[in-house]
Amino acid sequence: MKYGGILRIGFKLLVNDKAKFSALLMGITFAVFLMMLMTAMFAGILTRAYSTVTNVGAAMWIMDPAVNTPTSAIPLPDYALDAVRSMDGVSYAVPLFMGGALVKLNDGTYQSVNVIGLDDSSLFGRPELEQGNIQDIYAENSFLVVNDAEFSKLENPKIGTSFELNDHRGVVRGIARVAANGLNGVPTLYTTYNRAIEYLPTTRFTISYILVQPKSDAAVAGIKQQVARLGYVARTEGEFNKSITDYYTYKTGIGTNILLMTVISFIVGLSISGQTFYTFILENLEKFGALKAIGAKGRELVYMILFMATFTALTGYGLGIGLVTLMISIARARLPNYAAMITFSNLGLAFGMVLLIAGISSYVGVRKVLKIEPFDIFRG
Amino acid sequence: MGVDTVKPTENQAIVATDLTKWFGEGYTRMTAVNAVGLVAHFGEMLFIIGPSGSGKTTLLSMISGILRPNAGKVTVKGADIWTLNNDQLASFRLNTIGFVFQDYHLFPRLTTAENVAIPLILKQRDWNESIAEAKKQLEIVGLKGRGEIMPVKLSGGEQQRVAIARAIISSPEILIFDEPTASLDGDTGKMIIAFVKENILNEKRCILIVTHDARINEYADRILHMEDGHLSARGQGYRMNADEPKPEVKATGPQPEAPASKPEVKAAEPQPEVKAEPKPEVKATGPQPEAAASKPEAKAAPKTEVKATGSMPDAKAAESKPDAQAAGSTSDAKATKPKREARNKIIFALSIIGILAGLVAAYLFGIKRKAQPPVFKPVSSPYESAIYANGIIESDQPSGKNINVFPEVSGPITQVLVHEGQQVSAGTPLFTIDDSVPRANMELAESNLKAARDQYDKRRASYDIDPESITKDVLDTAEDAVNQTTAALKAANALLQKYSVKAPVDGVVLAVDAAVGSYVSSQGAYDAYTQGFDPLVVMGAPQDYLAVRCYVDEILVSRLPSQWHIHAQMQITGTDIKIPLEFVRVQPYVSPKIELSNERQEQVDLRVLPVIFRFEKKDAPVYPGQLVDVYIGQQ
Repeated sequence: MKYGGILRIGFKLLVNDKAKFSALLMGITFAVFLMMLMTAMFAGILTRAYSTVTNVGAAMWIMDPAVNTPTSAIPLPDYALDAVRSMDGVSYAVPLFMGGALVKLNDGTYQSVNVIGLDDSSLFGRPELEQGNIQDIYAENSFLVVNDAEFSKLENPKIGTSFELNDHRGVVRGIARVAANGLNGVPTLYTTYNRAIEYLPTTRFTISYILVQPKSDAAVAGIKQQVARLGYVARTEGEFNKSITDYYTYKTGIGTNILLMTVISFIVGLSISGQTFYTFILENLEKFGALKAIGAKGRELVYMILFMATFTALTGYGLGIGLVTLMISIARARLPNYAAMITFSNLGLAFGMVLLIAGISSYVGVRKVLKIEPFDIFRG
Repeated sequence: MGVDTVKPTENQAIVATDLTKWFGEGYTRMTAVNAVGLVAHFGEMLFIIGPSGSGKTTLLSMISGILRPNAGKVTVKGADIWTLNNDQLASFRLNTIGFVFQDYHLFPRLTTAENVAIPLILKQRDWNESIAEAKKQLEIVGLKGRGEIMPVKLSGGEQQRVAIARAIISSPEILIFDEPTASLDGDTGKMIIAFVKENILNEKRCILIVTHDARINEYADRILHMEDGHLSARGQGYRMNADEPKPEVKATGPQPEAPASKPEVKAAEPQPEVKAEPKPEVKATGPQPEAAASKPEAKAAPKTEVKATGSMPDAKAAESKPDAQAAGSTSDAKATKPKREARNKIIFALSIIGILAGLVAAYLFGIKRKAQPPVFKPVSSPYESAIYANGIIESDQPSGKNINVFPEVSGPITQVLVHEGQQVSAGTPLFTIDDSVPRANMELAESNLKAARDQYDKRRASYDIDPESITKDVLDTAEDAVNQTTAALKAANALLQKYSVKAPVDGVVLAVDAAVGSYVSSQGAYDAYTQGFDPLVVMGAPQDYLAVRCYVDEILVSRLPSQWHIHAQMQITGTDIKIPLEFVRVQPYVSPKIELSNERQEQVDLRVLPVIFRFEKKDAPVYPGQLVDVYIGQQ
């Protein structure tokens, strides 16, 4: 490599200065740790926020335009379902009920639950069953319970466990598992659509969402237009997730708070590493001047400093990522409700931030080094 | 000034002409060097001396391509260096000039060998080769085996040697020393300069030394004196030879003849094999023979030390740092380096593991379990464009829906004579109701008829025997009584027939709500579940064909094709069974959609248009009352 030697000098200058290298690593590691933790928490919240969308797995969702999150559905009239089924490009469409209720457990206590009513004729959006048979959902008073972090709130029911729901008897006929846990911290029950609207007090309209399977990807745009003419909105799974993300990011305080914490983490990291790196450059400034006198070109020194900053940043990045991964993994293993999750976006964002820290830190150093004249070395 | 008193010759290394440099502008301008000219030759050690602030460092900087002069010209080996751009100047310095700075400027975080190797590394030589070469150079300057030590572990003199090794490693033709003895005690300073003169200087190399340390002037081949930016008269340069006086050197001691010294110096060139031989001998034999005659060290003890310094094995003895300490430093360094490297390796390994762990975690956390497919395929349109409607299967009849059979009389059921799904003909008894009372009434009527008939017969016989025996009126009354009891018997019999309910038409029994013993009335049978009255028997037309009554939502009515172009297909809800439908008629009356199952719980006042289709049942597992999904398309 053309600049391999000078970069190696930079590497040795860096790592042999144990105190400063440690301080740099600690600063960047700390910053990455905090940034990752913040963004991982946000990613976890978002993932849980659109867990219903993930679990149901519909290609398109039709809803009232005012819907922000899956659990705050605004009921659709029955004719909307027939109208959607009559639309060009629709392969099939089924209703989905989502509602909340209070379950009275056998010990007399009450527990809030989410109730999801699946289309009776197809059971579209059904969960995977750990125990029981899915067709038992048609049995009298049948409900499926999701075995997630909230399962214990229903006193760890078994198949056959009964409860009361709005003065109706409910019986657990299956234990289900889903891809993603919910955000609201309440257990989830599945039943058929008709039973759900029969058992739960509902509004005049009862369809929470219409789930649509388009005949092809090309049909999506046409379906959207037709649905819009009805006064409703059709969103693909990704669009629905994005609208949920936008809601939490921009319309609640969560996004702002997370952003602030991320920025603060960035500033902390930048301050520590920038200051340390600047001190490092200052301490070696005369040596860099001597290098210039000996015959090092300006760009070689720039490469060297960039390399040092980038190398430190990447090392700190790796340590920070490792630390946060370890912490999140342990936390998730020990605390089922812990929502934080590492995503490639988080990693990319933290990587970008770290590179920015490296860039800013090295910019200060490069300016200093380019400014030093070999003559200053002679002159002392 | 501006004219060197020494005539240019072919071995001129540096020629500087009218060099001028000032700093600041206006009234703050300070001229550091003012129209100075000089010539330096290969093979000579040229001292520039003068008080602090006289401009000698500025002059040196301009000569070495570091500081651009405001006026004048510097020619090195015939080339004007100040016509070069910055990169070319850097290359020029790297290839032509070796620097030994006053404070050495060694990188404290690099080993001595790495420090020394820097010029080669800047020349993009292989790292390992450069380090090996650096170690050779360290050997030359008397620091054999110290390559892995950090400079801070070395004494000042040793650091100076490291700096010298760094300066000479790229074999520059010009060496520049800036105050080389400023940080050293007198003896060490002398040793260093003596060493340089003996081992570094050769006929292809020019050494410029800026110093104000008069104690080393004795080693100069020529001395230039600078003052206030000018080379003073005595500083115009002179050769240290027998023909010329050496005022500066005289002050420090007797000077041997310079010219004679040159070949000797060359003999002492820093060739390892050469050095290895003569140096120990010098020490062993004491004062120098020929070489000593031509060199200052011949007279003084320090010179002897210089020789000793030049001989590498003894170099450490002359330094301020004791051998034991130096050896300790070496072993420390050897012990520390692997430890440091191991520590760094752990950090880097952790970092890489961290990144990999993060990527794996992101991958694992990002795995989306695929949602479960529906258990039953949802109904989908078989047509490119169609409207959807709910439908209910009914008997295929010209009018109405099903045939509901109610009894005309009340009483408990005594017999159920048919079962659900049974094909029956018109008049087939379906069930019977307890008929004990009407049957008794009929027997009573029969008895009455018999009594009336007997009485009539008797009176008729009497009348026939003797018309005067009874009156005509009595006879007529008896006849009337017979007629009345006959009618009564007929009525009783008709009533009795009502207690056996028969099929009104040919068809199939769809539902039987009657059970033996249950009380029924003309309102039907009471259903305890629905708390309403149901027909006892529901019959349908023969099942070869069935009808489907579809309810088209009001919002879709406008899209209903004309009856001449309608075609439709129904799908049995929850199955893949699809059956084409034949259009029958439209019930042209948009009514509330309350006719499907649980109609009383319909929560939406949606209005629908009933459209009736029919289909051939064949073996399709469909039954009247079944809900179906229908897509109505256009032909």
